[in-house]
Amino acid sequence: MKKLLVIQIVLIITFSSSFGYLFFATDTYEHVQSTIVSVLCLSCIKLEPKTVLSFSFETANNEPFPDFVLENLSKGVVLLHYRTDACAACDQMDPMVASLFNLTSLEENYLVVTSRFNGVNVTLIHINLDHVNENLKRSYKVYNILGDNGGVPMFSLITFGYDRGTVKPAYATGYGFLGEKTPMQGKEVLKQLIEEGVDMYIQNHQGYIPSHNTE
Amino acid sequence: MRLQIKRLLSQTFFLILANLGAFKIKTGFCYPFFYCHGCPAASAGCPLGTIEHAVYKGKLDWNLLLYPLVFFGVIGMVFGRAICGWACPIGLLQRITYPISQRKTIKKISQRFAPSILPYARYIKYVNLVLLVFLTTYFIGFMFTDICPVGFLTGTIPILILNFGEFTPNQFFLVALIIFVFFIILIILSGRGWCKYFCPLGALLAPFNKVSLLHIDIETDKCLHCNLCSDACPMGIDVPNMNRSPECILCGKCIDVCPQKIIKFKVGS
Repeated sequence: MKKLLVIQIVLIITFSSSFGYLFFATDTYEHVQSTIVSVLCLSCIKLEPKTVLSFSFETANNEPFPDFVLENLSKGVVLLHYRTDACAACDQMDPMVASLFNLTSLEENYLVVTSRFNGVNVTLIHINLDHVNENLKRSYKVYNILGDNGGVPMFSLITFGYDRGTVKPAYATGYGFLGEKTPMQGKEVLKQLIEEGVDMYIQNHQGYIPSHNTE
Repeated sequence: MRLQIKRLLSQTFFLILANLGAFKIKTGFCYPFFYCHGCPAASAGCPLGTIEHAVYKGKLDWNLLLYPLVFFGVIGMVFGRAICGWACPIGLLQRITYPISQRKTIKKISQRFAPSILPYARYIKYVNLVLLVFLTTYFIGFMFTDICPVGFLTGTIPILILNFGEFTPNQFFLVALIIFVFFIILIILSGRGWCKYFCPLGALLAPFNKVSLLHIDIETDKCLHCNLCSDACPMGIDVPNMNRSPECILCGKCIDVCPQKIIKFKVGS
């Protein structure tokens, strides 16, 4: 009886102190909250969001376009590519995105790389939400048009569009294999989206006045 | 208040707690029971999903791995598998299906199709935990997550209902659907079949029954050997001889039926 009591005391102290350490001294709680709980796990639900890739001007959470996006937009089209560490669909789409930008892999947690499409710079910003700062994490919500029903991988193409007499930054967001059955088909959709974004950029970028985007 | 009513209230309370995400309450805790963070109303992370994130494809995030494990350590040391009987929403679901499994016709069917290895089938949950949750995720990638029937029940179905036409099935949907159908058949044919044979979290909590503060205490010297307790046990335990059985979910049904009132909850060693 006494032996069991000692074992109970030792184990309770060990587990409680370990949990206390992980809870108070590490960012594990925030990590679970911001990625595992808040970003919909598409593998868990065995589903993929159906999205129509159409350009809009109003962001998903009505926040302005982030500075790092606008900065890159001044040089060309921007493709934001979000993933998390443990994401089966991301693992399948990564090589597709990498091949579009002539990269061998996308193993970095944060990567900015520029490539030319039809004479226009297209900047790929690859973001692993598990390992980036709050500013980059926040940008996910700016373009996540499905809110709680959105997930990763998420792609947002940002270019310029024409809205009631004004040129503004416009974006289109898609998820998973972009509505297709295979990653290879998803790559083709992504390529078409980039080309459409490039065409819009060519048509509109000269008319862009940065002050119009301060709303 | 009767014990089983208290248990029902407790299970209902935890079901509500698990779904506080419906009120935009999303915490960074892990559930101490089986529930999917893919549920539109989820308020915490699935412990198995968190473990899978921690070991995904050979990467070892020790903090993320230990977080649910030590949390279960604390809970398990205090309550043992009482979590399965008093808190788990899937336990509540099986509580609802249990009376169906006890009907004569259903019992006949389940006895007819019960394999001879059934007494050993309870070890499957340990294999599930080690093989599907840890090893497959570490060496190959998601497996349990892709086919999890609890994820299908609490994540896929509500999302499909709430967002009709906005999602398409992925490549694992059909397999997961088939497993889900088997899951439903299982819990109808065998009361607490999921907890007994397949639940990886039950496997994680089970060893704590041997050392937990809360446990079932039986004054065996006063036992009449009427076997009412064992007949009432949804986990199929030989109650008088259970001696802190890892299978016991501390539901208290044996306490209710004991004519001698010699079965009690006890806190301590």
